[in-house]
This record gives sequence, structure tokens and C-alpha cells, in this order.
Amino acid sequence: MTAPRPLSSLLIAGGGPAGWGFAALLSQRLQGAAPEISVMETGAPTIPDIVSTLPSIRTFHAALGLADADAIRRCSGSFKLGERFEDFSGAGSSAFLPYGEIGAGIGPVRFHQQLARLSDGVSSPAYAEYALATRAAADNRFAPPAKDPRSFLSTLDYGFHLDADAYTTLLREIAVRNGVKVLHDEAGAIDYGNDGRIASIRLTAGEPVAADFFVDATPDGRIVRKLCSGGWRADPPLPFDRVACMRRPQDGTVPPFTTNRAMPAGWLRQIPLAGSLHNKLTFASDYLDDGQASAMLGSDSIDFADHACGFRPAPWQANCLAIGPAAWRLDPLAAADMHLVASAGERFMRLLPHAGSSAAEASEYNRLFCEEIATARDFARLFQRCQSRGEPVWKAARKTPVSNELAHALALFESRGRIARRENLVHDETRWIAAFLAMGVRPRNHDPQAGALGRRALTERTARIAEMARQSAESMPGHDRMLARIAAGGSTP
Amino acid sequence: MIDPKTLRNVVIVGGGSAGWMTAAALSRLIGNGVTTITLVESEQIGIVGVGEATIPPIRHFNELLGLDERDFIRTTQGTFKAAIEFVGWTRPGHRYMHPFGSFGADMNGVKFHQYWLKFRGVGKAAPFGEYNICETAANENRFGPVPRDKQTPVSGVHWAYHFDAALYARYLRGYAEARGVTRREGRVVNVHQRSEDGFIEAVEMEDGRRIEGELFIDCSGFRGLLIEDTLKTGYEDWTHWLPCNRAIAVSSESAGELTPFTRATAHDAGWQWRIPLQHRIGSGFVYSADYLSEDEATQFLLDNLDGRPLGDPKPLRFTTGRRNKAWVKNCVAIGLSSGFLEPLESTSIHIAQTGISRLMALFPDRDFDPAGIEEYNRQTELLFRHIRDFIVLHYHANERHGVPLWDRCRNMDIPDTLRRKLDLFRLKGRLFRYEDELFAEPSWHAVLLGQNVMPQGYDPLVDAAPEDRIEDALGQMHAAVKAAASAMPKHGDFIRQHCPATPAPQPV
Ligand SMILES: Cc1cc2nc3c(=O)[nH]c(=O)nc-3n(C[C@H](O)[C@H](O)[C@H](O)COP(=O)(O)OP(=O)(O)OC[C@H]3O[C@@H](n4cnc5c(N)ncnc54)[C@H](O)[C@@H]3O)c2cc1C
Repeated sequence: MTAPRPLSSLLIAGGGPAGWGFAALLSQRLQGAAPEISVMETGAPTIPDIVSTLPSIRTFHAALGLADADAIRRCSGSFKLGERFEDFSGAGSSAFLPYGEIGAGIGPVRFHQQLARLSDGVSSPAYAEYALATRAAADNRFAPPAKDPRSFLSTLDYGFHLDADAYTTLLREIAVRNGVKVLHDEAGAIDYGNDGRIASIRLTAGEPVAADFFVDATPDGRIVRKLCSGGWRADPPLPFDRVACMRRPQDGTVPPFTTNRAMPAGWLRQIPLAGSLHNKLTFASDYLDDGQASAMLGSDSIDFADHACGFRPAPWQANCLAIGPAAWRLDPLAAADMHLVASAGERFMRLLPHAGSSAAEASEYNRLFCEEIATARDFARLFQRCQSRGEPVWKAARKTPVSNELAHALALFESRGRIARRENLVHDETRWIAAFLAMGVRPRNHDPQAGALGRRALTERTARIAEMARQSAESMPGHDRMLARIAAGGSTP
Repeated sequence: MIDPKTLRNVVIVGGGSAGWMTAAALSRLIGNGVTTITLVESEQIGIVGVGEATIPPIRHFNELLGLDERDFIRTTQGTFKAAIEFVGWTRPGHRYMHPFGSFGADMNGVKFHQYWLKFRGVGKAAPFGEYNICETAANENRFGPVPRDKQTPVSGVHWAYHFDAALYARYLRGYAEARGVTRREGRVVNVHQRSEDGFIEAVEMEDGRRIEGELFIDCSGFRGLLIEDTLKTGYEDWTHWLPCNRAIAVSSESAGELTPFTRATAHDAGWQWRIPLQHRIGSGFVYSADYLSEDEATQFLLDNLDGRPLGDPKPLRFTTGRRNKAWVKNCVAIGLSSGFLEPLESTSIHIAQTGISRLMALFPDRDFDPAGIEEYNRQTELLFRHIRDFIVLHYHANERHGVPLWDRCRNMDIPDTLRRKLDLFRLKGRLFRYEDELFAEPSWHAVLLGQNVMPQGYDPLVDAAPEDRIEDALGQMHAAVKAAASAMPKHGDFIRQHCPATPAPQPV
């Protein structure tokens, strides 16, 4: 038996955040064993975009050796303590979905169960108010969490808002510094080997670029599509089928959170950057045409695109792995794109194949990918399913079928506020709980285990936590001040 | 104010270890002032009571109850368990250990065993087990804390227990009764169901008494008095993957040094367990009736004991598999009534304990919400399947050629989930854990490598690290494990010093 040959070359097609994020991570971590990695900057992204991330981005940046201050400075960035939802439970409603911990469990009794026990299911104390992130966001404050786990300031977590172009450039720099090669060209025809695998991809001029393995990070999956026709699984379509994006310069306070505002025919997602506000309107074209959408956004320079979600259940085909938009399109409410890119990179490295056949690796990758993407999708779907607006389009959104897993998760939460276990939650349990509550889902009853807790002591304990959240938030500097310090060349403490 | 939907009467049918573990854990609910818990058992029917070896999560269960570890060991004739020794599974004459805890330490984001695979290939690594503290210490019959100056990241000790299951049940009975659980002695002869929906409303005793309840926990053992006899839930039979269906159990006098591990010795028609307690050795022979008669099995067992047998060998029959649903209507099956997997990896008590924790986490009210029941059943099914796959692996990956039982297991179609695991492992030693899987990667590594499932290659990332540095690191880990293990006390000495058994109270 001859020893299998290690991968000697890896070609990534697509130079967006997905392609460069993947390249940066692999080149950083594979140093030494590295296959030679090249990125073909093919296929311009459809619309200029923005990156609004989950807290897991911090792990990704740590792996790249990328400091918060650099990410913020280079990408006109801001910190993100969570997402605000306005008008989703009818006009005037507002709820915050914080990152980090919320309150504190007592043994097996989770914090929201304690609150439900105190209210006996009648009124609804705002769960999220017990999170440091919620309090800090309300006051536009930010400081990185304390390292000392005994400090209440350690309960915070955060992600980022980053300009996508600048972020791509930054990731590209890291990758290039690690020796990744750049090809400025379009991907053309594919040459196949005799085993159904890709042998090379032709550039526009017809010159073939060979590699042992290919990563399709193009916006349209132009490579993986040729290996596997019909491999796309579309989600049951929501009425919101179009997006309009626009960025407007904006001075003044930069809020440390993303805002989603529901409107009669869609919802507006506003992501604050230093000096500008990125607006993304996702709407139902049956109820609002592009002209009306422009008028609503009050601008002419708007990019429109069709919007449909879905994913590729088998993104690893032969010697080609699809990532980013080639493998998934998620609702923006999932905020999980960079999370999924990083996790694709980690999973690929854990399954790094040799140059020969990789069927076993591919099948394991695809299994894990499906679990993950389905959860991320369901989390975003939760908002559409659980909002309670009265317009026909929102009613239709509510009726759009959801996965059995989400239906089950909702039924379980509605009954006694419990969270169904899943292999990969993407968003942790606390965030699932907060999201259900933010959309006004009220469990019919609390966990009986909470029934054994004394009311008096519990009341005092929750009040103390609320007070600690308030005080700790007040001790934090303003988000603007933090950004100014970083802009002036400082780092986060 | 008390929630009007709170369950008032919980009835546990069965007083084996499953019944009393459930009663002890649920006794916490009595604190709400409305819930009562009644346990019904029949001394005449008796208990299986041979479950004596456990896995580390039992410590969480005991902690949850607030049991003091040394008190528990003293009362149950307990000993510590750090590993299982598998003798003859790969092939006659071969042995390997499945220790608790992990092997070596991961480096540069790459699993330890990947480096080991490479260096072993070129003769520069010690045997796999010598990088695990539990195995290294167990091989010298040592168990106890690692002295402070010998503690390193690779020397964390993990453990479970061996104990007398009947004493454990008695111990928990005392605990539960002290906390308000009512015990009723007698045989259940009839079960009454509500006409409108088939929910169980009462069990009827031999003397005609009715015990009413809103929630019934079926801990009645193999037959599943409520879940099967009454509710006809059905059973998924896994005998085609795990052909053993009989056991003979007997205790014998102790002999030799006290070992901190369970031993499982393979035989042509099954396998023998050996579980060291303070006052005796628990032994048993698990076999397939297709290949051996009960008389032959009994004789074999008696011929292979450490010392003189204590009492008569006890025959048991079982069908490996699981109840289609562990929770139906207002009845939850916990213990042997929910299914059975042979005790090769000491998992039965654990299955019951997770059933109890899951029941607590999803505790119903009078509405019996179907979503909670579905979640309970889904998690239970996953647990059974994961353990099944792990046990099937022991039978499947064998080199006992020419022996019908073992040829059959080697050549059988294994479950898909296990097939995928094996395929992936055989390539480059990779393994991915499925959702909440009980046995973590080190356990799979121990059994896979122990049974000679050698990967063809290793993770290509291994070659990224400079060889001399890795060789040094392996050498240091090996030395650290060795030093820590040999500084641990002998298991027997440790027990004598800290938790010698208090003789069981004599029956009056
Ligand atoms: C061969 C073998 C080896 C094992 N080894 C291990 C091991 O090493 N580790 C491990 O963790 N587990 C092991 N087990 C499993 C362990 O024995 C069981 O999990 C444990 O004993 C729990 O059993 P149980 O309480 O469910 O049932 P049982 O012990 O059978 O108890 C049933 C109870 O129900 C009562 N009952 C039944 N019918 C009626 C009725 N009509 N009216 C009133 N009461 C009734 C009985 O009186 C009894 O109290 C082993 C099992 C076997 C068969």
C-alpha cells in the first residue's frame, strides 16, 4: 500500500469575506503542513454588504491573531452587544436580545424559570433586563468583559459590526501575509479528472489552474453546481423576497447593537458603523415595489437584490467544498454568516483530506454541516414564526411552514419554557430563550422545579441581580468614547 | 400560591435500584407541599440486584442527592473503579484497558492520539494506555488522589464505583423515606386506566387496595408491568446485533489484591464479568443461548471464580433492545422496564439515572404536554442508540476467527451510525461525537485501538509540528503519568484507611 499523498494545493474561488476568511484561517493554522493555498478573486459580490456578527467571531479573530482594536479601526467598526427588535409584537413594542449571560441559574432551575415563578405566569418580567449587555446597550456603553469570573462584568459577550469590504481586505492581508497567493481572474470552464473530480479550473484566457482541492466561495456556487446539479434545498419561501441596501453617513452616537424594525411590508435592519448607518430593508415585493422601497429609505442610490433562503445539504462534493453563499443563504436575522465560515474552516481542518478520495470525510462534513445550518436557519425563522403583527404579509409569514425541529422547540417552550436539545445550537440556550421571550412567546407555566424555591428569597435574589446589572453597566465607558480611543490608536483594555 | 396544575400523587411501581433512585431524586418535589410520592414493591417478586459496576456520571447523581462519598462507599461495600479490563476480546490471550479520563494532551489543536499514531508507527511512542493515568495506576492496583507535587495537566483522575446494588437500593430507601416517600409492600395485580384516554389512574394490590396517582413511574423491571403489560408500548429487539440473551450471576470470596477496575473476559459463547467489592467478588457470565446451555454456562462460571462461591448461581434471561417509547401517556419507564443493554460498559444504572434527571428537567403537570413527552422520548432513544453502537463495536471488531458467535458478529451488518464512525476512524483515526453522546472520544479511542482497529494514516496536520518537539512532549507526558501513578496509594490501602465498610445491619 502506498501512503496517500498530502494535499499539496488548495484553490479557493471567490474573494469575498467567506473566501478570504477561510483562506486566512487555514493559512494561519496549517502553517508547516500547508498545502499551497491560492485565492481566485472571481465573481464580484452581488451587493455591498456589512458584517454583523455573533460573539463567536472572537474565537475566530483570536485564531487569526486579530485584535479587536484592529478590526474596529480598519473596518469603521463598532461593537455589538445584541440586537434590538422594534414593533415585532405590534406597534410600539420593543425588546432586546442581549449577548452574554442573563441572570443566573439556581442548580437546575434556569433564570427565566425563576422569573416565571415570581410572576406566576401573569405579568412578564423582562428577562433580558437582567443582562449586563441589555443595560449597557440601553445607555450606549461598552467595555470588554472582565477576565475575573467573579466579577459581574465578566458576564458580558459581544460581536462586531464591520464594513464588509474593509473586513475582506483585512482578512486578505492576513492570508497574504501567511503566504496565500492571489489570482485576479474569473473562473471559467472546469476540467475533470477521470474519477469525476476537478482537475483544474480555467481562467478567462483559457489557462488551466490545477489543484488537489477546490473551495467554491463564489456568490453563486458556480463550481459546486457543476458537480452536483439540483443540490440546493430551498426553505419554504417567506413573503419577504427582496432586499434593498443603502448606507447613509451619520454623525453622533454609534449604538452598540443592531436594530430590526418591523414595518407593514417587511423589516428594516440598521447596523451602525463609525460615521455611517447601514440600512437593509427586507420586504415583500407583492406589497411594496422597488420605488416605494426607495421612497421609504429616502434615497436613490439603493442596491436591490432578490432574497431567498436555503442551503446545499452536501456542500462537499468530490474534491470541492462550497462555503458562504455557494453553500447557504440565511435570513439576516441569523447573523451567522461569519460564524458558519469559521466553523466550516475548523471542520474542514479536522477532516483535512489527503489528495486521493475523500468520500468518508465528505459525508461526515456534510452531516455536521446540515445539523448546524438547520439550527441557524431555525433561529432566524423563530422571529418570523413568533412575531404577532396583524398585516396580511406578517400573518402569511407566521403561517409559512417551519421545520419539525422548530415546531417542536416552540411547543416545548410554550408549554413550560424548556429548550429542546440539539446537536449544535449555534445560538446558545440563553439566546434561544431570550429570542422566544423577545417575540412575546410566554410559556403557559414554569418548570415545577422552580416551584420549590422560596418566593421571598427569590425576589431578593433577582432584585440583587438587576441592581448589579444596572451598577455594572453604569461603571462602563460610553461606546463612543471606546471607539474614539481606538480610533486614536489605543487598544481595548 | 401553588400552581393548580401541579401533580399531586406520583406512584413508583418497583423497589429495585431504579425505583429507589427515582424515589430519592423525586423526594425533592415533596417540598412544594402538595406532591406525594408512593413506592410500591413486592418482596416476594424481588429485584434483579446484580448491577454493581458504574461509570463516572454516577458521582453527579450522588452529589445531586447530597450523598457523602465515603459514607456511601462504606454503606454499600463499595470500591473505586477507574477502568474496565477487556481480556480476550480482540483475540484469545490479548488484553487491553478502557480507562476513564483522557490520553495525553492535545497539541496545536490536534488530538493527542493523532501524534501517537504517527510516532507509534516509527517506534517512538509508548503503548497508548501509558499516557492515561487511570490505566497506568490501575495496572498497579493503585487508586487515590495524586500527590500535589505530581499533579500535571495529564494526571487528572476520573472514577466511578463498584458496589452492592441491593445495599445501594436500601441506602436510597432510607434517604427517600426520611424525606417523606411512602413505601407500600405488596404485589400489584391490576392496573386501572381512565376510559376516555387510557391514562393510568390506579394500581390495585393483591389485598384489593387501590393506589391512585396522576403520574406513574414504571420501575417494575424487565416485564414493564405498566409500560408494556398495560400500555402495550412495544419493544425494539436488538438481538441481531447483540446476540447474548442469558446471564448467570454468583458471588465468590475475594482473593488477591483489590483491583480498581472491572474485568470482562471474552469466551466462545459470551463473556464473564468480575466486579471486586470490599466483602466479595461479584461475578457473572453473559452468554447466548444459541451457543451454550444453562448447565454448561453455570459450570463454566463456577470453574472460573476467584474463590469459593457464596450462594447459588442465579440465572437471568433478557432481550437486548429498548422500549419503543419510555414515556407514554402518564407513565414513564425507568430502569430495566425501559430497555436493556448488557452490562459490558456498566451503563444500566446510568441509563436509569439520566432517565431520572431528564424526568426532572421535563417534569410534567396535569396537562401532560406532548412536546415534553416527545423531547423525553427523543433523548432517551438517542442515549440507547449511542450505547448500543459502542457495545456492538466490542463484538464486531474481533479476531476470534473460527468461533461461531464471534464470526457472526465480525461479519454482521452493523448500525449505520457505527459504520460511519468506523469508516472515518479507519482512514485517519478521526472521530466525531454525535449529539450528547455518553462515551466521549477517549473511550472510543481506547476500545478501537484496544481491539486493533488501526487507522491507515493519521491527520495530515500532525506533520506540521517539528518532530523533535513532539517527541519531547510525548516523553514528558509519559514520564508525568508514570510518576503520578506510582505516587498513588494502593487501592486496598486507600479504602482501608478512608472508607472501610461498616458491616451491613443484620436482619432482625
Ligand atoms: C446480568 C445483569 C448484569 C448487570 N450488571 C450491571 C452493571 O454492572 N452495572 C449496571 O449499572 N447495571 C447492571 N445491570 C442492570 C441493573 O441490575 C439494573 O439496572 C438495576 O438492577 C435496576 O433494575 P430495576 O430496578 O429496573 O428492576 P428490578 O431490580 O427487577 O426491580 C423491579 C422491582 O419491581 C417490583 N415489581 C415487579 N413487579 C411487581 C408487581 N407486580 N407488584 C409490585 N412490585 C413489582 C419488584 O418487587 C422490584 O422491586 C445488570 C443487569 C443484569 C440483568
